[in-house]
Amino acid sequence: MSNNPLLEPIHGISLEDYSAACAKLGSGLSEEAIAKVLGVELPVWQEANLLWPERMKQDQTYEIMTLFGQYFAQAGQHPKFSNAVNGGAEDAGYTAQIKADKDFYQELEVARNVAYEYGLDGAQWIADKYGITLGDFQIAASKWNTQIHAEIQADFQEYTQKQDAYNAKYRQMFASAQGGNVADDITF
Amino acid sequence: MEELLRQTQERWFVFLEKLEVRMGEMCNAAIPELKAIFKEDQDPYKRAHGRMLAGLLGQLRRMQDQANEVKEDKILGLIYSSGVFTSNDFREACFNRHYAFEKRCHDYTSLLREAAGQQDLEAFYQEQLASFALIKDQFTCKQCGGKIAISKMFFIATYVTCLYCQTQNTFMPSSGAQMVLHNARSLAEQRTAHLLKIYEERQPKDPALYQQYLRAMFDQWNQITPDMEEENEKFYLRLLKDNSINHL
Repeated sequence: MSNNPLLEPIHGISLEDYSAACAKLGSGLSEEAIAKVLGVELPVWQEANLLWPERMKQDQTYEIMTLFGQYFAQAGQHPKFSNAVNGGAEDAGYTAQIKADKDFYQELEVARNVAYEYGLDGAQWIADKYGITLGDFQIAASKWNTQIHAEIQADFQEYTQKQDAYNAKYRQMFASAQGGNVADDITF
Repeated sequence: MEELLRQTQERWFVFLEKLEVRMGEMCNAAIPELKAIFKEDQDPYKRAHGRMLAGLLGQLRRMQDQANEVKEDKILGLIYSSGVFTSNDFREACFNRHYAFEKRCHDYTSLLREAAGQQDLEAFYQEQLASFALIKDQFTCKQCGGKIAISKMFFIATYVTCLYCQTQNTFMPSSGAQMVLHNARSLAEQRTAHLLKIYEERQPKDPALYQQYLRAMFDQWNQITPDMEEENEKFYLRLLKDNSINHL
């Protein structure tokens, strides 16, 4: 267990609580609901919500940030929040898939970025098309990032080939939906 | 071979020029729109402007991709296939033209990014101060109805105690006041941008000038959100420490 004093709970709200709360905020839970689940009143939650990022800024070891990412990815297992959303129902459909299938996450991450390149709200596009909220998308990102980083180190070429293929697929898709790119008619 | 090189170079130049013309048309038409959307967008995060900008930058990147693909296929392809028969003049001319094209892309990228200018955070802050002055004496106790004067601008939900019946009330700041907290550092940076510019332009870099900027920026930040001073100062010390390491 770390002795870092910056990890002490704020008004009884631990870093695990805070990380899970942030994940649930991203999934559409209101601040009032977050406060209720944590068993505090809104001003107490809002102050903790203000001070945890301050602790992260002060922490030169990045320990808080690292743990935040880990706890964020495990938000679904947090005892206080597990029954607060969807009545405790398990993730289903694409939301379950993005947390279980790394390739699916990587493909949608590219799709989201390409959507932004075509002037769309990429996060909203994912929510509309797949029903995956921003919070669940970020939970998947936290879950897969370390593994993806390790794979890049192991075989960069394979990683870029896969990314290029996803990029080509979604650029074509979004361009077609918008009647093509601005300079598609210019050829060598 | 000479004739093939000449024709390829000519087609390459024409191709890039056409892309540049299209790029100019797109950007010149978009800049007034970008400015208008930024100005009219009531969203404090200016997301509509952000999406339009991202879309335009995406189209610029597609044009760069087009140029890169042709360079790879037609220019480098010819150089590799003809080997020693390719003249250095052809290689240099084609590469230089591509460099000029890339520079044009870079210039248009900057133009689009800077088109809307900066959000006037000072004006927004002053508006919020004025709004707060109007409402600060209008809050009443939920229990006894007694008047509660809000002593200062709060940025998050805050407990205030009624002086008459000691009931704890919750004061909810306006969304504008909450944005002041969100924008506080950016506003402080806008106010002290001249000091950062002095530091950035000085060669060699002078750590004392950076420290002068940082102190001034945090003073402004503390002035905007006084309740955050204690936390801000801890962050200030951390940045100071990071900066001294970077200047070693």
